Amino acid sequence: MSKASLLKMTDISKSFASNVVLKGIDLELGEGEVVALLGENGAGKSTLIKILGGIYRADAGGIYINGEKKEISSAAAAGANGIRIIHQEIILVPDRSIAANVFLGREYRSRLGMIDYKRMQRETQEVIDEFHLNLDASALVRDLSIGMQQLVEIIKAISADAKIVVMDEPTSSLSQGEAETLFRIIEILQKKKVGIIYISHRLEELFRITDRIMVMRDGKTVGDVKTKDAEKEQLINLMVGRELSNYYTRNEHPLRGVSLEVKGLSHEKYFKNVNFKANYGEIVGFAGLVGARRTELMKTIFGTLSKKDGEILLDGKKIEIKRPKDAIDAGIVYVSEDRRGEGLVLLNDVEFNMGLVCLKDFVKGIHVNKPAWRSMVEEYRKKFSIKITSPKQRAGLLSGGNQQKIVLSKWLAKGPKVIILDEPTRGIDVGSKSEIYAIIDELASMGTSIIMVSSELPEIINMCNRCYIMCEGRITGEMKQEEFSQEIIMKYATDSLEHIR
Amino acid sequence: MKTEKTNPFLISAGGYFKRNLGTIIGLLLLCLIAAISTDKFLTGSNLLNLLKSNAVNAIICCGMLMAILMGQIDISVGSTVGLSGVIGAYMVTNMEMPVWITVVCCILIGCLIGLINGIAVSYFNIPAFVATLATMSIGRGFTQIISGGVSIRIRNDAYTILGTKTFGGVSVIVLYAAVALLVTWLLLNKTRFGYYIYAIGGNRLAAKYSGVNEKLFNMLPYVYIGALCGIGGLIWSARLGSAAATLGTGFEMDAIAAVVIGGTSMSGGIGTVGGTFIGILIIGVLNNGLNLMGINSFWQDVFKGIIILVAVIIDVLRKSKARAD
Repeated sequence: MSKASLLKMTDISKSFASNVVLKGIDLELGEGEVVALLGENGAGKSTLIKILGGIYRADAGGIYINGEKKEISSAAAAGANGIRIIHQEIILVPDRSIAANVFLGREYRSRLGMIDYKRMQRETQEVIDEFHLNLDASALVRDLSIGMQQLVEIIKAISADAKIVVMDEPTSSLSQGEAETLFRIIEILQKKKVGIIYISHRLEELFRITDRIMVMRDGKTVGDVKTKDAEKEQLINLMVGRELSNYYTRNEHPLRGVSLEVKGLSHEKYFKNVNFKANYGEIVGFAGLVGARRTELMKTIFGTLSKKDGEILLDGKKIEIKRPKDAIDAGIVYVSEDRRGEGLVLLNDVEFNMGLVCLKDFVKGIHVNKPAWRSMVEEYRKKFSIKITSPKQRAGLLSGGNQQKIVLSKWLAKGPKVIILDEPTRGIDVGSKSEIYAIIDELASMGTSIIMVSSELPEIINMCNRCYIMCEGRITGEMKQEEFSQEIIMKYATDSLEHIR
Repeated sequence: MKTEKTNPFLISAGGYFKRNLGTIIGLLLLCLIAAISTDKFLTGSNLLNLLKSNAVNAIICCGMLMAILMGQIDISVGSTVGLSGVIGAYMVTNMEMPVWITVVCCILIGCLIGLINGIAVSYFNIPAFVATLATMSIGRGFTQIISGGVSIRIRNDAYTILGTKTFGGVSVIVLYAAVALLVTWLLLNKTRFGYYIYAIGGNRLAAKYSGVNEKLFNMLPYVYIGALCGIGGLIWSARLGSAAATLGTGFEMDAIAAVVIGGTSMSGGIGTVGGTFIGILIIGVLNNGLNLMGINSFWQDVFKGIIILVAVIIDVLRKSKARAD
């Protein structure tokens, strides 16, 4: 490497319980260098960054700054070593001024120990002006647009004595103009010999501003190329190039007419003018990257978020969904991606959880038909081979796969027409995954209309009849089974920006 | 108006009125109603008395404001006031200790209870309501044990003068309250301590990721609250010249009500000393007016409860509207 080494991370490994996330990653960063970290969701980028930022501790491996080994045991330690992380989500105090946020944690104090707001305000304004941002340092963060808040995060990170700056999808909430501002900031930082680790899915950006691109997949480094030698196709191949396993169960089923139709659906903030159709007996996929707003779209259809505009039709009839109950009554159910947070009452037992949706069916007046309830639980336990010792076992203690089967049972007991699965196999071991795929296929064979949101492309390609691809709140592509290819889906999910703008 | 007293710096009086317009109008309306209903309300001696009887609440509110700013609460304040008052009375009367040692001990007892609250909430992640409910019970229990369940008469003029002295007709305890409000204003607006309290209440994660020792700065305000309650207990027992086992009962209610009415958000991050000051006056006028009208104290509790509910509902509605924008 031509430039002096600033940061070196060697052989970094990290596991969460039995889930190995990083398997010996090496990363090197020089002064004034911009290195891109590229990889699919779940490749381990965020974990690596959190280790650098002192939020997680690595199980093995070392971090060297300017050739010196450092223990980064806390966010404060990372900060003391000049490491600044700009998180993807905005982490600011909304009811305080820009200056107060920028100086949080390292505020100036006068001799009497009083906070020197004037000086903080002045210096913040200087940084703002240096980068030609049209902002007032005393403005409340709450009153800024999301893009401007993101820029405040960036100013906050670099205004201190920053040596290594990590930007995690910094442009995800920026407009074109704001993104240009960011690129200008990056150029200025490079001149100041700051090293930058830049995480983004937008390949165009990477080609424009980075010096080197490191590709990660499944917790390993699979490529490290100079940006000027890199080609788009090659990067996409590296990113998705895992072998497609054959644990998918998929049979041909006849389609039985249109079930759900969405016309011109918009949400205040998250998505605009979404149109799509699903059929009975069909599995429709929704592919895209984090921030594509697929979950928000599904939650709007299910009634946990409220729509701004548009229509939802079921069996050709317009339906009004104001709350989840309306959707459930109409026959539309949503299996959340956040199984532990939104799917299960973790402290309660299996029987309790399975009965939550269709409890009404077991209750007549004050009489609870326990035998019927029990037999329902037993039916699904056998059908999905759920591994429990008793229906009284606590849901929170079960494995991810078994939990997902319980959530599925809970919804299927209601006999839905349309079932929306949001990341149905996230955090589930390979064996259970295969079983979940078999359940999904069986549901389709019975004529249920299935909508599957998934960030795992192989899952989409192997399971779906058709798929829509979303990017930043819009549907940017639709493909039929015979046209499926990982490369083209990734293009729709990343490159599509240029077609829109 | 006395509002300028709490806000002589930075904020212009105009900005202050604008920001607290709703509560100021509410306060004036209450005063108007009280003045119309009884001609005793708008007399100099009654207004001085109003300030005096709300001084201890103002001192407690200074602490309560911090707890609520962090999105938490402290319901042990009344019990701590009681404990401090009874210990103070017991030390000077039964043990015949010097006044200064007694004062120091009472404040330290308050700090100790605050420290327990703070450690429980911040380091053991116990919900503030539960942690302070527990210390409230502990404090109340000790108050009964020490006082033997009866009222302790204080026969020590050097002690009682701490609560009875007046300067030109203004009771010394009103001055204590003014000092407490000023110190709290300085702490919140001018020091790192206050800066972090707002940050923790506004977005705890932001504080943590910025390298703030968020556990320590979540704990410290409880110690401050405890110290204020210790002082509150001293003043109250000195003023009355006795300390009953029931001293301080229900004080948490007035403090929470005043802070919330003053525009402090229960979810944290938003709230000012200036706003709280108006909240204190509203509660004061309410208590005083209802007393003058001869309405019994049970009804006062009902009204205060309703006012808290309304204030919190207004806060929640304002929040959800801000989110929709």
